[in-house]
Amino acid sequence: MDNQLITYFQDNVAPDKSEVRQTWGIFWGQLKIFMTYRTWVVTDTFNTIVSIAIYYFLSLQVQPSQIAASGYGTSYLAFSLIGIAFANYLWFCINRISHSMQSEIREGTFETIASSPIRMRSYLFGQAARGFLVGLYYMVGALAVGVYGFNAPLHFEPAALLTSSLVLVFMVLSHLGLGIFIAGIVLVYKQADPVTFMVSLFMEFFAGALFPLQLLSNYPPLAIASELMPYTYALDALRKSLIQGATLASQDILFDLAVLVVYAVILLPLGLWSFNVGYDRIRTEGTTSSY
Amino acid sequence: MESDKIIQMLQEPTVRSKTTLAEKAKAFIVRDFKIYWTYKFWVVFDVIDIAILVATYYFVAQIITPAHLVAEGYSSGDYFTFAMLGIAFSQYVQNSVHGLTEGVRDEQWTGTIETILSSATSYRSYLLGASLFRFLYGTIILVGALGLGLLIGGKVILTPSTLATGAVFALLLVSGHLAIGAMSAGIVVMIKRGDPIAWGFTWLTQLVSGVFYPLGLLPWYLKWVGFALPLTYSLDGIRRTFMNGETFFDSAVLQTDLVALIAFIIIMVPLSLQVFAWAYRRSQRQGTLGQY
Repeated sequence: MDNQLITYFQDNVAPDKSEVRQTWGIFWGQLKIFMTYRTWVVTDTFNTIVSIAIYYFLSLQVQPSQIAASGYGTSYLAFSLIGIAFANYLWFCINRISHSMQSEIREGTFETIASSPIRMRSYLFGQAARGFLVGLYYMVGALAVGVYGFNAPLHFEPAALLTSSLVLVFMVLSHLGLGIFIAGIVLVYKQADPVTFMVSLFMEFFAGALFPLQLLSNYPPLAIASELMPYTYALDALRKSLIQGATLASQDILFDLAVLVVYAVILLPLGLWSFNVGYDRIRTEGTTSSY
Repeated sequence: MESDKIIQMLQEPTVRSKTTLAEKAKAFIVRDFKIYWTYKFWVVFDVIDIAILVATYYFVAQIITPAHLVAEGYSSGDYFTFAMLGIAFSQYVQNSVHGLTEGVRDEQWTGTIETILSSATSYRSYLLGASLFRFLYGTIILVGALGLGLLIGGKVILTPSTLATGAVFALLLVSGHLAIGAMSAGIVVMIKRGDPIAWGFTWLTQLVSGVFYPLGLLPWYLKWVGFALPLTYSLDGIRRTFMNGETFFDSAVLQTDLVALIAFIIIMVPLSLQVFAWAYRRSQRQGTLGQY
């Protein structure tokens, strides 16, 4: 009887097994949804511009000698602009997967996706790709407004841009595992926004998005926590390349990249593994659609 | 004529018990507390959020020169105290404005706003009730943020007269932002989207109200935008009170701040209630109150 029912409902259309096409499909679908939120795009763009203006006025009070002592030039605007623009980008990438997962569960579409022939890996990477692209719009926009609107002294030469782009890729890869891990938490506990929110707060603070890390040297536990954050190394490399014009020939940049690679190698498989554990658990418990 | 008959047929002869405004307000506070308590982690996160923000500006203060603060009349020139007061009070009102719009948005999502506003509870009682818990909760976070700031090096002048002056400014700050929150909630009821407007307001106030820097650093046109916002006067008043020890009786600047805040409240409170009422009736007429 069961077999008869299965035969009755069976579809003869062969599922598309190409992971690239599945990833592209998820990415394109999510991008279309994003484009319907025009008010958000306009207000987020406005907020980005205003936030840079805030750091510009704040920078007028900062003693240049204090920034110079940290080894990142003398402009606090350039220092904070990089800290905030890239932290926001990372936030977009990490938050994207867990946030979309939570929305799918809340709207009741996750079970449909989970029952379809789409591989979960393709789904995750498609969601992440959408986060990378939208985040890129705000990040490039913030840097452009900072440089052309408020005269932040950044190096946009090809070598510096190439170096910072490479750092950006490894920065994302080193944090992607964390985003996937949090998405696994969403699957089981149906809540994750607070977790990603906390991660981004700690990341910005301990990596020194707004102040030079030398100031933490009097507080050993804080200094150690700072050294454990992958974003610390990404930010150091990005500031060195975009403020000082350092390239891949610099030993400091190579060291930072090596640390990011180590984090990526450890965290990415760990994130995928924990996501699979969560995914299997909700399928076993039958809680795919509950929230 | 037909509609009158239908109304008569559906009318219930049950006499409504009169619930006082105080009872309704209490019921709203209890309800919102119960909802909030189911998200216990959010309490922890809110505390950590403001603690990290205060700690960040503790370190930022170490690279800042006091010259601009002194030139603007904040005689101690202590940037950390300046930023601590700015962050704590701006977060206080932002949470409250966001809280109200988010509350309305949540009611739209869960489909309860139509039920509440169709009941004997007037929209004025609803707005007041929906704001109370957020402000109470915000006050606890505010006290915590100030306590932490003082613990790590903030310096304020605490005397009975500065405390009384500060309390008056805080009260006016809350009243002014209740008006902004009500207007924002009205827009949410109408367009079914709230956060973009509330966030835009948040960023604008941070830019022009002197949360992170004295107003003297702004160009004249941004200063004028700042003069239209209550947070500008409240922050100036609170900082002069607690950083310089000024009070209403001996400071002409504080008296100006006080008059500006009272004028803002007199104009904005009725106006914002009108905006909410207009949006509410429009949604009622169009039958879209329950939509989201």
